[in-house]
Amino acid sequence: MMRYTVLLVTAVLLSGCSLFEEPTFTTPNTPNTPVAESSGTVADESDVLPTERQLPPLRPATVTLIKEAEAEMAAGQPGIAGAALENAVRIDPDHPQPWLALARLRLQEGDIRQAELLARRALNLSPADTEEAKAANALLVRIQSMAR
Amino acid sequence: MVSLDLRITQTFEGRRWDLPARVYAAPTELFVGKRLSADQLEAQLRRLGYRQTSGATETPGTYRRNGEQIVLHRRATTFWDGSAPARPLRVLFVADQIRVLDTVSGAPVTLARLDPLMIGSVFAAHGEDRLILAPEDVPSLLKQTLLLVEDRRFESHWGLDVRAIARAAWANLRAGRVTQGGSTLTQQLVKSYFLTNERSFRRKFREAAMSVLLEARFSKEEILTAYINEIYMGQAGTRAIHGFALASQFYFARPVVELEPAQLALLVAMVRGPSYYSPTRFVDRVKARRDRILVAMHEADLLSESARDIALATPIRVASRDVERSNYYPAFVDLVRRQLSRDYAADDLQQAGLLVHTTMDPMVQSAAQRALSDHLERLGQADENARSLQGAVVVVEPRLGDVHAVVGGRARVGSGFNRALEARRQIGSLIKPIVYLTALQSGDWHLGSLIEDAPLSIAGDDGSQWTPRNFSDSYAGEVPLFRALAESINLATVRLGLSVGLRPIARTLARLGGPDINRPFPSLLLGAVEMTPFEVANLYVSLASDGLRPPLRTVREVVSADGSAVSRYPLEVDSVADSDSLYQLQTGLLQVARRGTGRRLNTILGNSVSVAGKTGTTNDFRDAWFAGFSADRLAVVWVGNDDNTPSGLTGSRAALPVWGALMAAAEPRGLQLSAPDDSRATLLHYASGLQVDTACDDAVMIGVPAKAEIANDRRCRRAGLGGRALKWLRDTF
Repeated sequence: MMRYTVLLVTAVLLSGCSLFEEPTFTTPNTPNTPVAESSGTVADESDVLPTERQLPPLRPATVTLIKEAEAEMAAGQPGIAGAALENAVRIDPDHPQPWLALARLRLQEGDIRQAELLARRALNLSPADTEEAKAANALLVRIQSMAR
Repeated sequence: MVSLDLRITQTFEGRRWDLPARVYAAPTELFVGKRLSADQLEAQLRRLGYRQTSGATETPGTYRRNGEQIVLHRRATTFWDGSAPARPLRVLFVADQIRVLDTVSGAPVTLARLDPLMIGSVFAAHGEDRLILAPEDVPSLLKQTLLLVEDRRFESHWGLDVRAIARAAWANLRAGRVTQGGSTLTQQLVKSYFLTNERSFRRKFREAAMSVLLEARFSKEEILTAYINEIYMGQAGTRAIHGFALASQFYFARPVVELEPAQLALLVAMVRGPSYYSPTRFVDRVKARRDRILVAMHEADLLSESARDIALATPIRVASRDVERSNYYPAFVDLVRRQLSRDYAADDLQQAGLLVHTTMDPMVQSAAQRALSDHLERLGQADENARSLQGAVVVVEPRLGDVHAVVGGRARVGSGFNRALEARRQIGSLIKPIVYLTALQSGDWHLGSLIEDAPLSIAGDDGSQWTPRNFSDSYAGEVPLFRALAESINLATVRLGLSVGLRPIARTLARLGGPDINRPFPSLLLGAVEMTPFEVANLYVSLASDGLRPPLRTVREVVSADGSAVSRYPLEVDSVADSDSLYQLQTGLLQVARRGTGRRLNTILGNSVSVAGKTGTTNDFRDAWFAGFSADRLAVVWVGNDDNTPSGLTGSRAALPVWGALMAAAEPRGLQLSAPDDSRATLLHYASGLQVDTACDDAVMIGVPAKAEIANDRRCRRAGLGGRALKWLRDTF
């Protein structure tokens, strides 16, 4: 129980740090329901349990593709950069980083609408107070200031 | 003569550019951590025509398997965004995942792309399909063998070979009928261009004149290359196989450069008459001719004695029809053609040699076809009335919108009516998630709210009465929304829908990608709206999303014959709904698969994989549906009769097993739903919808608004030791 109290307090503190008032931009997963290990019914229901989700490490292939995309972008090849990032999304679709990189690329290409939606996807995938969540929020702030 | 000259010149020059667009599946990407088994990779290598060897894999297109390790020599391929050189790769699998990927010398490889599988082509209505070889790509052994067998004096004659004609004439005279032809390659090419089998002197004369003209206008190499690309090599349904390159793929599932002498000689043997010398129907006949060719090749110093003997000992073996035919996926290519026809003229598709790179996943496509065909066969064996049943399947990656598979019917081979795209049928209960989502979005309902399940009758504008009934004809009184959704209870849904309003529901349907319904009728609430399986997949991608969804995508890019990207179809997302309502709905759809109308999935997939979905059955059992998703795949299955007569089967019996089998084969990643900020997951009692604690029996985890106030159930039956033991027994047996 101690663990959940700590998590709850952390979550409350974190929600105070949120950069946005807008609810869709805040991060998921506030652990507020006790987790039970004893009952079979609950164990079966683990797929909807509000656990503190942690991001798995990016696969090496994804890291390589994101780097490649940056190099292609610098070389003035946004099409090839985009294909590399789509491949990265395909390999690590549940990780916010490739989505974020794709959002940045679209922004550079001037597609503000797609940049915003892709950044929101990255944010939806980022657990609270991770570097990814901060980066996605920062990008959204930038996009919104540009849209104004 | 001038008109003949013009005609042959134009035909020859025009023909050289008449290249159907080639359609490719998504290439298999290898990287450490990819979920792929050694068996799956081997199956893919076989589809690509890689040869298994027991020794070193020194040439491209070969592989060696040693238990959980596969060493393959990848073929070189040029993609528009980079090239993949031929190189050996070692892939080591642990627990159906790639654990090690490196070169044979041990240098790690981060990402390796295999050559993509060709899955079809966009040829014109008359059905000629071909692959083109450039002069430098024609193996010299093929050229030499062809000349040896068909036209020994090709290099020296001027279109006609008088000696050969005289020899043939003498033979024909002796036989009293036409038994031999004295045609040069050039004459055969001319004959092939004008597609007539008429045997008259007038035609012979024209053919001879055109041959001479062709020789005068074009080089020997141009004529020989044209011949190699033009010649008719067989028929598969409406598809005519032309040219050695396509014949090599068709009969041996590999590129012409990788052919062994016995295979090459077999193709040359077939030139004289692909049906008379059919390697599947007249094996002895074609083997005799092939063997004569092999002997001649040795005599002409094209083949060493030992190579000849090895080749002679090789039985006539062509790629199994399964390999070749299953490599042609007409339903998927049909979808590609439809999508491309929006952006391209028919002529460009049929002639410009475009390369179309698609999102198709051959492994999923095969699994989907097998799942449908096998299940319908089983149903047919059990019940005579089910023998005419048809079906369709669409599989997509829900986060990217990539279409992985399209199955247009139960037949494993052949094309025809593409039900996935054309069978527009009532969707029945597949509509219900839209009704519940609209209710959740209204803010007036959450999944634990109670709704009355009792009969009602609605008067239509014309005075008629609509009296929907429950499937079981029994009525539960008050039920929580999640249970009404899980068990697909009609009257509870109708009452909920009427309370939410038909117009808001129709608006949700349209916004999520369904049809626009201007004047919604109450029967909409039970799915009296017609959609194709593909349209249902499009709708359900919204339901599987966090509110941001990609449009469905079949083509990734189109590349011109010179290798540059002509058009790209990049990944995009649209905003269609709020993430909280969708999350809550998804927790309800999980219960469909866990304990509602989709609970058979527990036995097919096991409890370890969480999936969400919905069954659908329409009036009098005309249509059976199942639509659902895991984290990485979304599939829609329809089963019914083409003439819309009742099948007598529910979605759960006819469509769900197909869905379960294809998902099991594709090894889905289970759903892990995480609550957005304004939602929380809570344990509710299945029957009452009241909030319970963890020790309570019959509790399910349901997503509700974070601020929802739900009463606690004080009467809940504690799952004591006896209760737990009972539950364990129930879950286990």
